[in-house]
Amino acid sequence: MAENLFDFVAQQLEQSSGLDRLASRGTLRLALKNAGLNPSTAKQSQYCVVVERVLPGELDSRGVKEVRAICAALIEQIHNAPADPSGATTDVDGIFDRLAGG
Amino acid sequence: MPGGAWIGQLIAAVVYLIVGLRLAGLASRTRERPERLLSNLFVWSGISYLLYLVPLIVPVESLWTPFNFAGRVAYIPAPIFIALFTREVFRSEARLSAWMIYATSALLVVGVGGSAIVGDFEGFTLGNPLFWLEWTGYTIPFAWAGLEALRQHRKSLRRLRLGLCDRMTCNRFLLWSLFGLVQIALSLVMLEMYADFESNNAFSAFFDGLTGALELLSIALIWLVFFPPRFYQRLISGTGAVDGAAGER
Repeated sequence: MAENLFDFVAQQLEQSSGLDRLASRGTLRLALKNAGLNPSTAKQSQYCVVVERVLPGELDSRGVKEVRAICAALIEQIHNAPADPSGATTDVDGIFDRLAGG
Repeated sequence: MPGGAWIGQLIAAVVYLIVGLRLAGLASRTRERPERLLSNLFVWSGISYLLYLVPLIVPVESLWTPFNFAGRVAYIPAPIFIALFTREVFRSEARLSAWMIYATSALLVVGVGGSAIVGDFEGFTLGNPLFWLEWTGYTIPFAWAGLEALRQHRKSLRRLRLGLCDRMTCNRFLLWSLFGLVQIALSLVMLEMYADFESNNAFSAFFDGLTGALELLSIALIWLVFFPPRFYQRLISGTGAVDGAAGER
């Protein structure tokens, strides 16, 4: 059982891509970093965008086959994932928007 | 401060109090820590600025030292609150960031308290090592805030490209980082002013004016972060319509 959304997505990626645990976690972490996101605070919708638009490039560069199919399946799994128990409430953008809009 | 600095300080005091009270209202509704911390930062800054201004507005020489000291004491919480805010918002997971808050608090309390014990109530004496503790204590937290916001701005540009952040939010990080950098500039200009005061027993007109200008720039930045006018929102968003402060994420 994955502890949070990052663990869950990394686990699914490991199973579908053939990358080992370390490589799949590192690749996902790098994709999130390139998208300007923090693995522990990114939301499901943000993970979906990263998997759709950033992760394919990272997987391609690691010689993974059928990247599009893997990412499409991953997005489906993220949509169906249980709500993140960690909550992901420390969203910096949200805090600054709230401060300006209050 | 015979020149323009006191005018800038007076406007800054009023604006800081308005922003601080508005954030206090927001904090009472949301019960969230970031707005409570920022509210305290601005309210204490405003109170401190007003205390510093009293001797300049009421020309009674005997008020100079007590009000200056009261202004210094009232300013102690401000850098601590901005350090707490920076930790809360940008570095909540980093253990080292807690030490930044302990260090800031210690530097300020020892700097102000120590200089009072040795009889330097005004805190203008650069030759006093305790002055440097206080100066570091109120400069480093703003530098930290500015750098963290700049780092977040760079990350938000990446999110912006993917449609994960709106332009106003992205711009807010930049403005907040500039606010931090202007505070550092103010701290540096203060050094020159205090050096002048030590040698001439008067503030330099040039640095006095520069301080006033930097205070006004600070206010403009704060205003754009917390009360962005519609024309500015349209300018940054690059659209004719403004959807409000909170963007979809």
